[in-house]
Amino acid sequence: MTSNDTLFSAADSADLVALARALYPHDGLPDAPYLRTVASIESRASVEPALWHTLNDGLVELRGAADAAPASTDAATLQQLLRDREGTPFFRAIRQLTAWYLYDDHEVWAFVGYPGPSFSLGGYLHRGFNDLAWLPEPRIEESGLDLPEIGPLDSANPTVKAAS
Amino acid sequence: MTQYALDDTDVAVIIGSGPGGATLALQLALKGFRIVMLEAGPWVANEDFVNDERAAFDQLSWTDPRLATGSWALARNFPASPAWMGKVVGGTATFWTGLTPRFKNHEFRTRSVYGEIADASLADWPIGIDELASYYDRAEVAMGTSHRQGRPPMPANNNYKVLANGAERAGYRHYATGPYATNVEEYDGRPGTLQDGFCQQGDKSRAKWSPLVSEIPKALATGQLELRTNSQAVQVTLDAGGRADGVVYADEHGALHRQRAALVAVAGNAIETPRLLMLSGTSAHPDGLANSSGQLGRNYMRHTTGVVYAEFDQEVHMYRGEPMAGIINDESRHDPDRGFAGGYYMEMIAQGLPSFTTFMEPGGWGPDFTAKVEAYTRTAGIWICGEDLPRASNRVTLSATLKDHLGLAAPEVHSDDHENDLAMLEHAYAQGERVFRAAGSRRVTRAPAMPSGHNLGTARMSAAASDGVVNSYGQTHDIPNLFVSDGSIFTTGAAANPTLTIMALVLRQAEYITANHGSI
Ligand SMILES: Cc1cc2nc3c(=O)[nH]c(=O)nc-3n(C[C@H](O)[C@H](O)[C@H](O)COP(=O)(O)OP(=O)(O)OC[C@H]3O[C@@H](n4cnc5c(N)ncnc54)[C@H](O)[C@@H]3O)c2cc1C
Repeated sequence: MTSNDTLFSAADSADLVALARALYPHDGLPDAPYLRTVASIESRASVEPALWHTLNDGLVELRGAADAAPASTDAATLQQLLRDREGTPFFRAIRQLTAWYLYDDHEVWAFVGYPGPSFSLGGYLHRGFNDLAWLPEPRIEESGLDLPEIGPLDSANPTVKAAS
Repeated sequence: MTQYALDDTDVAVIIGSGPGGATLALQLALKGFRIVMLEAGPWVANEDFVNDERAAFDQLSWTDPRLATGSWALARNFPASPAWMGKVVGGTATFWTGLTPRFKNHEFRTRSVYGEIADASLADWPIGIDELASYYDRAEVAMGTSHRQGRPPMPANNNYKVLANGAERAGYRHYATGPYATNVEEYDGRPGTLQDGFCQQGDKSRAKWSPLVSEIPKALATGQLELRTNSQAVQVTLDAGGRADGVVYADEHGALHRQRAALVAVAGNAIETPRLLMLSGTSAHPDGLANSSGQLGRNYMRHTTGVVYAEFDQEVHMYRGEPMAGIINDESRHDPDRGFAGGYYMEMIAQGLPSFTTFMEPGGWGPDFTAKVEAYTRTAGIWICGEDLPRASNRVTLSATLKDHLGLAAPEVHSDDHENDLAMLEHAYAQGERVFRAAGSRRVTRAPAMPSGHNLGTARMSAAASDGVVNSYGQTHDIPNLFVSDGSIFTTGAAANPTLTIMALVLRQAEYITANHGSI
């Protein structure tokens, strides 16, 4: 997974991938984005000693506490193991970094339906910025009514007053 | 570009090229002043902006060390990054969204209108809406803001259709797509919006107003302005008589230079401005320049804020079109019957997937979280923007431990939520949820504050020198040729987004400087 295999073994990487999926499970999302996410975390840890230490330490502790390696543990069990460790530096690091890289992965964008850059395509002016049709077309001008600056809304708006 | 010598003593030095500094530069340049502008960040041209949230953040933001302390959510969620500001020509407005409501009359007189509120340092401004009205007009013209001064309204995008229909069904009446400082059609030599959705990353098309596409090039064209980029002011110096006589700044290599000056205006935004004045402290001014009142750095405000996201059964695609072209004003009034003083706006918000996943539930994970992520294209958002109360103990100070790349003390930003802020936020969350449920949402999420884009109050304006740092013209009470030209000078924060008011105040300041420069 990383060229620096003295730092992270194949088993380490497989466990981190399983944890990444347990943290941010998306049914139907292939392994590739999770693999890339873990590769990014590992390459960062390979130049940040404190991060490497935190990850390594956390993996060792987690394996000791679990019945099997994370890579061969089901998601629900892993999620419980993670929940039990929410306050730890290991959990904080792996959660934050997994979210950071996973949701910056363009395959994940496509999976969720976020298209990314738009300027080069002319924006959305002619590509559906206003294509929502399941609600009526609203007013875009400001209301002609006076808004009181101090005190309750006028009696034209009893609903709001009642609900406030 | 015009160049001035470091020992030219007759120049005005303006620190910061955001809306405050750039507005002052243009007005003074038009009147023939010789101006050096120091901007800590680089010039980034519109075509070099990137349609990518992470890359754009790194390209445009102020990422020097900061530390947040106190009970506010940001000290928990983003302690190293309590505020989001620009470090680039054009300042934070290179990636602002552009809503431009004016203050209301009573928002200049909150101590009188709201009365005494415990643990708050409310005060009336030394000026009111009448003195500012004509400057508001001019600011709206300068920005070409929609719905104002003959500019057409923004069209509705999908996210707005949800907001407006929800508002209408919830009984609100005062909603619209602006005022919003982006061109609907060609104006001031800039095109109409492409509805491309990216503006918090810098607007490549130039449809959105910012100093980068307006005041800065116009000021440069006068031949009166020299803009020095990558130049971070580190000290304002005083002469023996106690007047400002220069600014020391670090260039991109960290080498220091000293520019002499006849007048200095600081417009670094409400964290860097008080920090610079504190860093400029001398044995004669140990607590920082212009701080005889002890108010410098205090009364830090950043609006009562949070986000409501809502999922719908059908598609919204909030990322399409202008991200914040929608506002509900009904709750912006002061109505103590709601259980708090002051008011708030509900403003439309849209984010790309990276920001959405970062801010929707900071620290969130697991299947509930990913279900919300998968609903991204069916999600709409409301950003809450309400008046927060000033408190003397909410303040910017110099850190005793944290340093920046120059070895200078980093700013610490301390803020505790006032109970009035919390009551307002609770009300706003509930009303935001009502709006979205009325539009048909089945699941709503309350998100906490994002790093503050509105930063105010740390060099407060006051009539008496003992109560604040500057007078109504932003002139420091202590040093007549030292001015503050940004939101630091707000006495109180009002509910409105601040930039139009910053510009109006600086337009007034520029007239004052022009009329009185012989005597200041
Ligand atoms: C995402 C986002 C959206 C926003 N949307 C809106 C909106 O819809 N409506 C609204 O009214 N406001 C909005 N704002 C706020 C708006 O951007 C600010 O109010 C406005 O930019 C403030 O202008 P300014 O000139 O005071 O400061 P800034 O724009 O922050 O400019 C300050 C400049 O000074 C420079 N500087 C600081 N210190 C030094 C130093 N020591 N030496 C040299 N240079 C220095 C900085 O690099 C920066 O370029 C938004 C902000 C954000 C982050």
